Amino acid sequence: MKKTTTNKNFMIGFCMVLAVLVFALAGLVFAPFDPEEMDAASKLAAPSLKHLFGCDNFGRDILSRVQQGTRMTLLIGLGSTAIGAVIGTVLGAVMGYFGGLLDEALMRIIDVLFAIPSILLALIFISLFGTGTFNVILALGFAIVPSFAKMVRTEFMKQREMDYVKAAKLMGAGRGRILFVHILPNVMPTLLNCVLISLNNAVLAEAGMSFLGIGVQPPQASLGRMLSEAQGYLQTAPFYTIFPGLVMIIMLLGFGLMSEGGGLKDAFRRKS
Amino acid sequence: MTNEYLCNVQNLFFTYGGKKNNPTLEDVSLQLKKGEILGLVGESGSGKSTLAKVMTGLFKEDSGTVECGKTAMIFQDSYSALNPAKTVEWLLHEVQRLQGVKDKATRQKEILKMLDAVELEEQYLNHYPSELSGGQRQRVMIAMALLSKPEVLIADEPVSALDVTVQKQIVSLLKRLSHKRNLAVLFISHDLRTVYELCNRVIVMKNGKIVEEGAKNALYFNPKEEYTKALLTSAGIDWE
Ligand SMILES: Nc1ncnc2c1ncn2[C@@H]1O[C@H](COP(=O)(O)OP(=O)(O)OP(=O)(O)O)[C@@H](O)[C@H]1O
Ligand SMILES: [Mg+2]
Repeated sequence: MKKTTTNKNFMIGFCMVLAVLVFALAGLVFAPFDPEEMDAASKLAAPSLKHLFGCDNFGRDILSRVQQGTRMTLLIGLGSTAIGAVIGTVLGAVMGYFGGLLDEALMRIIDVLFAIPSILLALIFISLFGTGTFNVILALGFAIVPSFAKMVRTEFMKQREMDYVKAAKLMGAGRGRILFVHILPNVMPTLLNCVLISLNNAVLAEAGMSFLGIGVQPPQASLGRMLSEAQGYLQTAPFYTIFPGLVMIIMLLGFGLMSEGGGLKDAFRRKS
Repeated sequence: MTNEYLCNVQNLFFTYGGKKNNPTLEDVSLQLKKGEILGLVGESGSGKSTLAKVMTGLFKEDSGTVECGKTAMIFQDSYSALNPAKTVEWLLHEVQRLQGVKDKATRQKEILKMLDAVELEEQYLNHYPSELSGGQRQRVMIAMALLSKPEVLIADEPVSALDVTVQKQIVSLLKRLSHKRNLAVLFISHDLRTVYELCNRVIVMKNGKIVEEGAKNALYFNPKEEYTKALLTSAGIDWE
């Protein structure tokens, strides 16, 4: 009974994310307008058959911009999560498996970094290296590393005590093989759950950074950037906020439902 | 290593970190010959598993020597000893990959032969360890151990977690396989009856020391040490 509900949640979340993905990628093939094309005549035009989502304060087609912005937001979310997950996993695996002085030293650093909010870390990074999409991805990616490293480290510390690791050692498996071929698959369900949570956080953090003006730079669109631009027109042109906001909510909800209740654990383990 | 012994342990000392004055293994010496099944008995905490792990090289001895031929180990807890994320087939391939057997078809052929030897049906190849019974998992472990082509097999309580009928099957399987492959087996158990069925020679351990050693019948029916007598009595074996 419990299992069917988690699987159901996972599937609903998956469909929501898929819908957002299809919507964003469809823009590559047939966006109704150039997302950066301005048209003074249709400034803040309400939704119509021509502009389904209406137009923004520069007269740009909001539908096309939401499509482009969703792609940007997904790119930032996926890019930063990938960086954080790969570096964090390798670090956490080595720390958890080998332990010792190196582990202790790294753990101190991670604890300090962990205490600082990710968005603040990203802010520091941006102020050091400058703005731009690539730097936003790097900044968020590095900000995510500590949480992955910490989680993976704990898992590897648990796994290394298992006899199957000793057995692999006896059979002559090298350290790299033990870490990434023997142990890592056992950490995968937890890791993939972390990936979903981190995607969620990255999307939110991107919005936060755009709000502070250190995220994606105009004229490029991202969902966060659009929401921050739209705040001055909340009363006169609510659709400007509603559409990017709706897409963001569907995306966040989708990731959330997928990760909830370890839905992925079921999806990745055939039987219990 | 001398020619007559496949395994020669001399004056072995081992202490777990942090227990300075109280060695877990104290002056342990034992030899294993080709084709011999040596039983190792002793109460819980006497150091049997520790000895096994030092003999396989998982732990480094403090002093003394361990000289063993190619060793494989069967762990007590088959649940923890089989990687939960891998299928039986993957595990059996992996042992051979690590032996340097590159050709997949060759490995597959060996696997089928081995399944036959340990009496496990082919259908279980694509099962995960969690989908097997305890006896089946034990057979997979024996198959893995044998595929690594050992000269010495250390079996740490391989049947303790199984019910009596399955215990009997696995014990007779080990007996046949060791005979056929001329393996030296160190069989660790706290079940003196099983040890009697399987072993030629028996070592009794207490607090990290060997207190008595001898041929099976001599030790079971003419024990010298009080500790051995007590063990036999508590196992319900009439030694007098
Ligand atoms: N990793 C460890 N660190 C510290 N002490 C340990 C460790 N493993 C075992 N010991 C201690 O070493 C002693 C011997 O343990 P060991 O596991 O070798 O006993 P055993 O004879 O195998 O017992 P059992 O029959 O219960 O399996 C025990 O006192 C135990 O507490
Ligand atoms: Mg033990």
